[in-house]
Amino acid sequence: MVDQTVPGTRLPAEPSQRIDARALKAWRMQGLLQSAVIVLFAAATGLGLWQLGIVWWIAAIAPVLAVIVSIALIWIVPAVRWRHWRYEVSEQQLDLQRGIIILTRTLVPMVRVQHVDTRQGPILRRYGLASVEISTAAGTQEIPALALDVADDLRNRISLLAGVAEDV
Amino acid sequence: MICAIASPCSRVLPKMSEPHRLHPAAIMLWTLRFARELFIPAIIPLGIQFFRHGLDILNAQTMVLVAAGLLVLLLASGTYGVLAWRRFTYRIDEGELHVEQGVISRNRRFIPLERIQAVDLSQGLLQRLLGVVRVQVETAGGGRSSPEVSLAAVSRDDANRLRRALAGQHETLDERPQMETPAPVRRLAFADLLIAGSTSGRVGIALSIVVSIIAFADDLIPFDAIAGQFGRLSGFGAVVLAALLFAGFVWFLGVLGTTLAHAGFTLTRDGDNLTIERGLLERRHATIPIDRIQSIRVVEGIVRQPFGLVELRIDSAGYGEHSGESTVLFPLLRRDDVLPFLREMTPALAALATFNQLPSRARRRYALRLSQVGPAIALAALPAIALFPLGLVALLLIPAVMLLGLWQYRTAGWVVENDTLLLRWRILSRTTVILPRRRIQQAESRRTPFQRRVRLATFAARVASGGSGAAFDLQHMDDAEANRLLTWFAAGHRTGTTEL
Repeated sequence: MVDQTVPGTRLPAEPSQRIDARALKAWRMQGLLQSAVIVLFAAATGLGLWQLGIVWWIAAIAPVLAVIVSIALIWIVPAVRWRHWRYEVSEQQLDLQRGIIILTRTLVPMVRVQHVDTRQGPILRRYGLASVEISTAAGTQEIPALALDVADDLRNRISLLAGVAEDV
Repeated sequence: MICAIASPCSRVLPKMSEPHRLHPAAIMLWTLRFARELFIPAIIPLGIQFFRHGLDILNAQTMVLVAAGLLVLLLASGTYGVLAWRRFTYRIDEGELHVEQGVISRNRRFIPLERIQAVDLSQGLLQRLLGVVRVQVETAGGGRSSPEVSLAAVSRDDANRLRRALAGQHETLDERPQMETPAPVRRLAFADLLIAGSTSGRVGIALSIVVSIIAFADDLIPFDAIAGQFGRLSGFGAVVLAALLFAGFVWFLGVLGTTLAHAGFTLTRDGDNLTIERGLLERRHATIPIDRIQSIRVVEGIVRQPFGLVELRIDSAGYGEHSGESTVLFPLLRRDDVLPFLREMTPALAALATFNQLPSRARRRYALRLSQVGPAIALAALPAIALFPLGLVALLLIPAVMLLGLWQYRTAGWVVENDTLLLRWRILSRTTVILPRRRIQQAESRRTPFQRRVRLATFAARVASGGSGAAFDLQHMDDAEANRLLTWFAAGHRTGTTEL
């Protein structure tokens, strides 16, 4: 489908690498925590309305919605997100593809990278994962949930490749 | 002169590497600012007394109290002003701008000169009266809302010396002789200034705000009472008349605002820098290094387009109040003048070639843009239901918005010229953005499920601008062509030549 106007610059149909399989667990855990908060609030609201003598099926709207959102947050969103997430780091560029409903493909040339960080929140740490954040002068991209050693490798590699720094 | 007063610079023309104080006028500026900040909290107790006792508080006792309060306020502000002035020093040493300031907590800031993106000189009313200028220094990735360093009051001579020292980084590097040819200068003619004011886009925005306010403030403003003054007009007629009067007033404000802001607009190219001077009440003077310009926008307002008039804006790294905000490069130009103008003011640029249009299957997506049709339906629904027979007129808004969508479809396009990408789109104004490949930081293609079904994609390029960059989107391109643009973008960095 891609017009091959310049030889050797063809973009692959998809970046080659997937992110770590444990990401799924980490995101489900994250979804579980978020859902717990949502369900708690919704239950309190529903109970409050019911106590005030509102018809039961109106009082039930918020809790039912909360349950649907929870199912999405715990099962659907992480799975779709993981399936869509792909990345590829070559000498010249970062190639990222992600999205849940909207699929986004982003190219970041190495010479544009200003700095790279790895980050590890409490949930990611539990699963031995870390995310890599890549900053350019026009914003930040993140590759979430890679195995810790993969993330460290990637960070070092990107910072080496980007080392041929050029200012804005 | 000034130097005789300011203690650290009592010698003749001290070196930039020695600490400089601001012009003593800064004392007055800071005193006034501090007094203004104290004034509101100080007046609150008085206000409370007034509400409690009404005019009874107008007796000798309160007068004395108020006078004493004012005296304390002035003394405190004055002390603060003097302290702030004494503590504020700046110097340039070893390629860095050093600024020390702070009355209670001391603050030291070192800024490497090569990080400086722009140096602005401006004069508010007070600065004009006192004959000093304000110098603001902007850096990339600095604070989002305020300039990195603001020198409240500097004498004209010092300001110019400082600007040369700060922006002179490039000259000292290549040591080239001063160019003999006069620097290209472009001034905004007075007639053009008036045209720019009366056709500025702000009018449209202001108008829509006013109209919506009127729509909602119907109950608050006694239109009928006003209408009584105009004879026997029906309530509806009165509302229309009042709206028109108000719109005229707002339009006038827009003209006035633009005219004041752009009066005497002068753009000068001085070697590697562009200098913009503008403003009537507040004179502004901005210096932007040409190699910091990230992209150029050609904006054709809806009123200006038929007359072939455009406004030029630029995105510059680390410049602009908020991220993504652009700076006016020149307020009014004939469309045919754009290319010669850009060639004169900025590095050579590709011709504005014929634009590639979007595929015909994108037409439907533009006509049914959710972001436009959605609000239109929501807006039209209320009057259509509330004022049933007459209110149905409001439904015309929906086809109008769909027509606008078709117009946007016809306008949208893109073209690649050598190492430059040009994107064109319309919201109301037609905007063409010129993006040199080496200025694009990231590029992406996005596809919603609807777009995937019909092989369309939204292409977006990001450049550095302000705090965190500006993104330019072209919606509903052929997705293979969006991929081609990504490939073209990536290819620029594969050859190993990052310089153009």
